[in-house]
Amino acid sequence: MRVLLVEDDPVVAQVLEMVLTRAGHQVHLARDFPTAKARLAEPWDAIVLDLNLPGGFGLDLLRHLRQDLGRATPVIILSGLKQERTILESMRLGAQDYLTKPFSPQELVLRLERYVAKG
Amino acid sequence: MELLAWLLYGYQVLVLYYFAVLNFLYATFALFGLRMVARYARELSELSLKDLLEREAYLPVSILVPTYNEEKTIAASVRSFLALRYPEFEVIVVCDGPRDRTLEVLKEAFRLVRVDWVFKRALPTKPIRGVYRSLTYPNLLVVDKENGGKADALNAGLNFARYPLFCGVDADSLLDPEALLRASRLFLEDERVLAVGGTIRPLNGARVREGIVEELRLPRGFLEKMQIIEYARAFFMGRAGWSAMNALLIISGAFGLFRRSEAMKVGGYRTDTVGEDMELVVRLHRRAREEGRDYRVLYTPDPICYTEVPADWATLRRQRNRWHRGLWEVLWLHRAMLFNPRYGRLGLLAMPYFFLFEALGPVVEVLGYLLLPVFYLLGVFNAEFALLFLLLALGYGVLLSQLAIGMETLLLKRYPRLRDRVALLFLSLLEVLGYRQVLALERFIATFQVLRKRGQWGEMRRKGLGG
Amino acid sequence: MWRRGERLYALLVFLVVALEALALGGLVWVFSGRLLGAFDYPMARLHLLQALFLTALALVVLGAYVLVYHAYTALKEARDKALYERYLSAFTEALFSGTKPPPPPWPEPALEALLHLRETLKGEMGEKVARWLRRGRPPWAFRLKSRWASRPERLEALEALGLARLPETLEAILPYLEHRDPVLRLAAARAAARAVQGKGVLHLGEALLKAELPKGALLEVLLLLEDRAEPVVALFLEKGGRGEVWAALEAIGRLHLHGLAEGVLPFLEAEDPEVQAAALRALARLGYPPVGYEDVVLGLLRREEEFLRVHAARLLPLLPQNLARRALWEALKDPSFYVRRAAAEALASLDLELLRKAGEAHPDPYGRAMAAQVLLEVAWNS
Repeated sequence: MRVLLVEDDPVVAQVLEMVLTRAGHQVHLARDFPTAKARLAEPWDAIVLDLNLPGGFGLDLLRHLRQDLGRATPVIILSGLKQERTILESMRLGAQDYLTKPFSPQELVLRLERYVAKG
Repeated sequence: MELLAWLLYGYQVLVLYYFAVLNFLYATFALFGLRMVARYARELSELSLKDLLEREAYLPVSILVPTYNEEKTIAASVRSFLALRYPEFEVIVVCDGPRDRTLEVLKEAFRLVRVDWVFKRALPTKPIRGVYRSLTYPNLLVVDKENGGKADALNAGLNFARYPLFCGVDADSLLDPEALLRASRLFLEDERVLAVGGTIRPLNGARVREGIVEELRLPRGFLEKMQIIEYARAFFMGRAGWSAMNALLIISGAFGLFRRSEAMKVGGYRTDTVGEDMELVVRLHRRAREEGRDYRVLYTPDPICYTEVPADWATLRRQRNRWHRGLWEVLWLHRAMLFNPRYGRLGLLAMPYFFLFEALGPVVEVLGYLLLPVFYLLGVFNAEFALLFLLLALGYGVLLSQLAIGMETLLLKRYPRLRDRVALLFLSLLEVLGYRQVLALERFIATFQVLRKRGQWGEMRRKGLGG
Repeated sequence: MWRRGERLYALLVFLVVALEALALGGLVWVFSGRLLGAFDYPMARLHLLQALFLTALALVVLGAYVLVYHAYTALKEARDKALYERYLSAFTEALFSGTKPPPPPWPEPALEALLHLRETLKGEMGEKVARWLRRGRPPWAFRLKSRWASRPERLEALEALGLARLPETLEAILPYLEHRDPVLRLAAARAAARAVQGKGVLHLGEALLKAELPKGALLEVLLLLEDRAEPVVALFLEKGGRGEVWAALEAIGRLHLHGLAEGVLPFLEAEDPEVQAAALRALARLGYPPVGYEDVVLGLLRREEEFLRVHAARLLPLLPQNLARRALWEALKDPSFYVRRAAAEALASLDLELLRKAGEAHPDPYGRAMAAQVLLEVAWNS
């Protein structure tokens, strides 16, 4: 499974890379908004998306993916933001799930695999 | 003849006193600035910033962007403002009757649609021609109005602003993504705070990618390099000191955060001066003191805003001329505060300092140079002495610049290359050999223009919108 | 945004400045004296040369220090970064493969890596990281208790403990809530809010009541407590001063503490309008109808303070429908722009038809305009 990680925090990125690689998936990392936006054009099986990115807000990437590119790729949002408003907006834009930090890496992988299997 | 010689010598001694007091003050500022950085750096942790962002403990901000003819850069600028890291804010772009395609560029880039927007006309401004909202960015508002100057544009923006804090920026300011977080938390932690200014740094030479400053590099131009040193001095040594004394009179128009209610109470920006940014701050101080309120006007030493500085002499001189005229205008408008104990440290320290040293400084300096041939003609010229004294004065100037460069070395986002550091240190030597004198002359001319009221500060074109 | 190590630099600057002041002072003295005929030219010249020499010396020393500092910090930071990344990989590897991490003692960058991991992970892995942290014997709690630690060291220790979130460290943090330095009090409150667990929450609450923090800071602390906040919020409502009550009311709304909603109602009649406004906001956020206090809310609509009228208008949709409709219709006539706006927005969520009617037929022209405006916005946002 090809997974795109959009995350600027190096610790979170490393943890995610490790747990996903160990689960047998191919992981690619984008550390900021412009890189992520460019890489969205490639085919992905799943995306893990952070919201507070250098150069832009993650939800704009989600909007770009769903509306401009028209893809239904499963997206899990992983963010430190806890406001209800943000969570609702993410769901409305078509994210499959919203996890807050601190998080459990195994839980994230399980959920991701489940969404991919469903779709 | 003896008397004349004695008088002239007396004048020299006076200049020495002036110089000594000035340098003593600079030294005090240097120490204050260092102290503030040392304390402040520890007080604000990255962790607490992150917490502020992730929870709802913040005050929403309206960013006011006055713009004139900026068709080439406005889209990128507005996009960078919209990308700031802050939970809730709006961007209000006020097009001050531009003659180029600024408004059209905005309409295309942000899919603007005209709306009939009801707003409170609390501050008088030139007529509004149209209000536009963006289909893609719900927190962007664009106001098109008749030309009235930067202050007028800001006032128009204030009429539309709906949040408790507002942030006045220049259209070409590049803000640090955490600029709003760092500055606004000061309002949250202390209810007395009325206004916050941040550090401005020259953007020239930096490597920028999609609105993020990735690395700072020394630019090629000599003038630009000089300004890097100047800005470091002005901010790290000047403003920190005044802020520590709660007598900060200047918050740069490139980035300043204010409580909207307070600015509205004093009537917004004045449109009849080129120094509108300083004038608002002085008026805020004045009103608060007159009302006997406990208040704060703060400076945050964290570098928050980057701006392109002039790279050629003509633009640079025009800018400095305007700044100096603005300074004189503000001092004149608030001359009642000068040496007035009713205004505490402002009246007895800050205003006199700006009057005697900042405003009159170039006059003293240029007169000093001009009097040298006079002394020579009168036969009271001692070449060796004059040279030594000149060297000393210049030496102090270099010392101050080096202190400022030293402060900059403490920053995390400093000029990273060692050779750039060496270059900066040597350039501070060059600064006092010509650059400084040319600008002193320009400010000297500005003083006389103000005296003769020749500079037309009402003229729209030089309102600082175009640069 | 700033590095450490300014103390030496500050000392150097102070020395330089003092020397220069001395030189300048000497010059002023000699020159003034010369003016009065007390000194002759060679004396003045000598002082001038001395001052010049000192300045040149200062320049050289300062310049040299700056360069050395720059080079040293650049090297040190590169080294620390390399260490950090090495340890981060090692720890992450150990976490996922279940092997042992590299043995302590660990250098500072390693501890930093552990703190970041602790901040990122929860559950079983988070606990593992906590255990490693304890094993690493970090110096923070010790530094807090020590008499000789400097202020920056204490602040760093507090922040580290806040990241570490080890409940047993609370006893080292709590005394700082009574420190005379407000910055340390605030840092301690933040750290404690993150670290505290279980019973400790009540101790923290009691300590906060005495800490004299500004209300914005109190709110931040409550928000940091997240799902542990309820006992402290209840304590604040019961025993707190103005700032604590305000923060508690705000927190109830933002954290959705429905269990405490009923306790908010009496504060609608508080003396302090800020507290009343906070109560209104909390109820609005919770969606909790002010049962039994309807006339109080309606009374607030007639108060002089504009912000009270605004928040009261926003709460009206939670009142019985007919009461709300009438009150909002009236509020559209309010002399304040912001109150009219709040009333129109509230009416939009309550009864869109009525808002439409207001836009056409409301007697007050400003009310009509505002209703029409909000209708436009509603259409816009959908």
